[in-house]
Order: sequence, then structure tokens, then C-alpha cells
Amino acid sequence: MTAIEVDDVGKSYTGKGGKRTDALSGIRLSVPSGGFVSLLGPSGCGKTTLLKCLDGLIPVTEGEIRVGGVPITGPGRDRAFVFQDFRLLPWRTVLGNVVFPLEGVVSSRAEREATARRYIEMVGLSDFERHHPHELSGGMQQRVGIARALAVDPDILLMDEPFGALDAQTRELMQIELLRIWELTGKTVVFVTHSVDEALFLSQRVAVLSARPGRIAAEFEVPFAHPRQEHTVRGDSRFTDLRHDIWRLLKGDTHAFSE
Amino acid sequence: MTAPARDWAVRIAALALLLLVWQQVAQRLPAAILPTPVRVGAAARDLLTGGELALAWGQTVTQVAVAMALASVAGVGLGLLLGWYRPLDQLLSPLLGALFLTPRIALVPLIALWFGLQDLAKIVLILAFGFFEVFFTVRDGVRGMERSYLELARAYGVPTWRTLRTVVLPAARPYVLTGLRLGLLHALVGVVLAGFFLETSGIGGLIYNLGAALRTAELVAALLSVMVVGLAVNVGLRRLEARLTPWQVTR
Repeated sequence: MTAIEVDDVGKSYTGKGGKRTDALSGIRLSVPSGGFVSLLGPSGCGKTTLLKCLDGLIPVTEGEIRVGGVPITGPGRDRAFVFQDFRLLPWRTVLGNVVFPLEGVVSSRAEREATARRYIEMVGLSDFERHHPHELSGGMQQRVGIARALAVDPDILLMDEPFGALDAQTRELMQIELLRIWELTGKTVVFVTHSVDEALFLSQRVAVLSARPGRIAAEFEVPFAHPRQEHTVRGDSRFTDLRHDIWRLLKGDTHAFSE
Repeated sequence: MTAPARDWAVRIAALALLLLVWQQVAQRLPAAILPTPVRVGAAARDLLTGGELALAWGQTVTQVAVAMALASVAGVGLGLLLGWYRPLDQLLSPLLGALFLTPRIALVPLIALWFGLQDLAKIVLILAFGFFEVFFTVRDGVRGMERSYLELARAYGVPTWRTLRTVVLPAARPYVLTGLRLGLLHALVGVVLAGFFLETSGIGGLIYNLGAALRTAELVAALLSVMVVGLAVNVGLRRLEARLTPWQVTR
């Protein structure tokens, strides 16, 4: 079953003086239900724009995005967004932040907190639910961001370079953690990154975007079965080959772009 | 020696040096021009025990309390509204900006004509000094946080009124506190001017009278009391800010 269908989507901005900039052009993409797809590309290629279009935060100017077969018109509770900068509310505790999207939706406070606690436990922060974001490390803050997204029980997780602001070691731990949660919950994940290794390690499919205007330059199936073991995946020759192919594509593209 | 201990040692040494130089210079000048620290100390004690200082500050504190309560309500209310709702900002901000740029002291004759010379007029003058800091700080704060938190609320489908209550208001809290602190410090200017140009009462009036009577030692003591109040307000409210909004670095 298809969770997301991106049908010939384009996005352009009209700047000052009526000058038109194309951010995205002719994007076709289909994400299977329960799948893990990465959007990979150089900075400025519009991958974050595409992800925000998928969430309905940004309206598209051409084409259509369908979620579960229905064209989207704005953000919906079937999708949840994880931000690169975590985007936690600093005056709220961990529990308060995870409860936030449930307020006004789930009327019982006890029920809201029980739901939130379940996901706080899933990301391993049960001992920190009374802490404020500024008392947590970056990795812990993003765990809160993930718990908050899971709390609304969406079908689809939209993740915008969620580990981009973390140090290398924390980043690898979070990748393993995310795969565990994905396998546990069966959510559909669309994951934006500019790291080839991250995309390959996590996803079943990698869509590589070209530089502006962003188009899908190529899609790569990643053949490793889940659950994945980090050392076996990274050590596999197919991993190295895929990595090489994607690098060539990206380099060729930036080269073509500079000419 | 620990760093804070060293800081305090330096501060106390600097103060001692200042007092020493002051004492030396003042001994060579007429007391009406520059009284010695010792004389100022004695004058401060007289003002305190005689009740003059307490009376003056009592009158002033009441006026400031009323004026700042009004400034808070108006400044926070308008700041939130204009920071949040752009069309209203475009409508009202040029007017408020022009008023802000007009030296507030120039309003005194008009205030005197409209509100007389007593408490009401003084409250209006102090309000004119305190309001703008509160308003501009809150408005700019609400404007500045717009992008990221509002996008979060939108991504999670939080309706507008709930966003205003659960995101905009708490996000504005540090700016409200900073605005109130800056507003209160500016209100002290209004306080002194009110005593000069309107009815001669309160701490401003006391300073005016002491100056006119050439009671220089008492005058300096009264000035020091304004300084101490200003410092106390600044430090106290900064502490409160740090306590209530520990994630925010105060400016």
C-alpha cells in the first residue's frame, strides 16, 4: 500500500520584483506504507522544502501530494514533523513538551500524560520527564522531539535532518535508536539528510535530489534486511558500492551546477 | 581566592578609593559645593531618622506602583496584540514610534494642562516614561519568536487561539519581565522630573527643595537613595527573570 504519493510536484517562489525562483520541479515519488525513505541532496536542493510540502506546512505550486489516496491541503494528524533544531518549548518540561500536541485533542489530562509517558519511555527518557530542555543534551532533546511526534500516533513521521545538529557519536546512537523505534511502531518514515552514510544505513530507499531546482535525480534501493546491525551493514561490499555510486552522482551534479 | 570573592574585593577597594579621593577633594571645597562623605553620611542619617526620606519615597512608590501597573497592562497588552497581528502593528506603530521619539519631558506642559499638578498628572508622566520600554520589548519579542514556535504549532495542527495561549504568551514571558525591568528603570526618570516640574513632592520634590535650599549634603544623600533604588530594582528583577525563565539569557 502507498502511504504518500508525490505527483509531479513543483514549488516556486515569486521574489521581489516578480522574479520567480523554482525550488522544486517535477517531483514524483511514492513512499510505501511502513517504508523508510530518505531524501538526500546537497544544501539548498529543496529537500526540506519538499518535506514541509509533504506535511502541508508549505503549499505546492504545481502537482499534487496524496496521503492515503487523499490530496493534502495542510498539516494533518496523520503526519508528524521532527525538526532539525528540536523545536522544544523551553518553558515546558519533557512531559509538557510531549503532551503539547495532545492538548485540545485528548480531553482527559491523565490520558494525555499516560500516552506521553509511554513514548517518553520508548525513547528512554523516563527519568527525565520533569526536566526542562535546557537541562538536556542535544541527543536527549531530539529524543523528546521524536517522542512528541510519536505521541500523536501518526501514520507518517517526517524527519528533517533530525540528527544534523548532533555530534558524530550521538548521531550514530540515535540512528540505531530510530531504527529500533521504527521496527517497533511500523510507522512510515520520510527522512531528510545530507549524509550519504546515514541515508544508506537507515533507509530502504534513497531518493537523491539534484541542486536547484530540486528534482529527483535517481532512486536507490538499499538491499539490507531489517533489523540491521551497524557493523554488518557498513562492512558489506554492497554498502560501499552504493555509497560510491551516490557520491559520484552528487559530485557530478555539483560539478554540473557550478559550470 | 575564588573569582566572586576577588570581584568583591576589587569592588570594595574601588569604593574605598573613591571615598578617599572624594574626602580629600571635598575638604578643600566649600561644603555647599561638595560636602565630604562623612557629612553626607550624617545627612543621610538625619533624612532617615527625620522621616523626610521615608515620606518622599512613600509618595513616590505609590505613584510608581499605579503608573507601572497601567504601563504593564497597556504595554503587555498592546505589545502582544501588535507583535502578533501585523496589520494592527502597521496601523499603530508609526504613531507610537513618533510618540516614543518625542522627548517625554516636552509633554509636561500638556500633562499639567490636562491633569493638573498633583498625583494624577505625576502618574501620567511616569506612565509616559515607563510604558514604551514595556511595549517595544514585548512587541519585538513576540515578533521574533514568530517563525519557529508558530511553525511547530501549525505542524501539529494547534488552532490559533490555543497557540496564542500555550505558545505566544509563555514565549513572551521573558520579554515581559525584561520590559517591566527596563520600564521601571525609565520610570525613575519620570519620578524625578515629576517632582521638578509638577507638584514639589515625592523624591523628585525632595531633591528639588534640598537643591534650592543649598542643603547639599542632604541633596547628595537623597541622590544616593535614588541610585540605590535603581540598583535594587535592576538586580532584583534580573534575579526574578533568571528564576522564572531559566532558559533565557537576560540582556
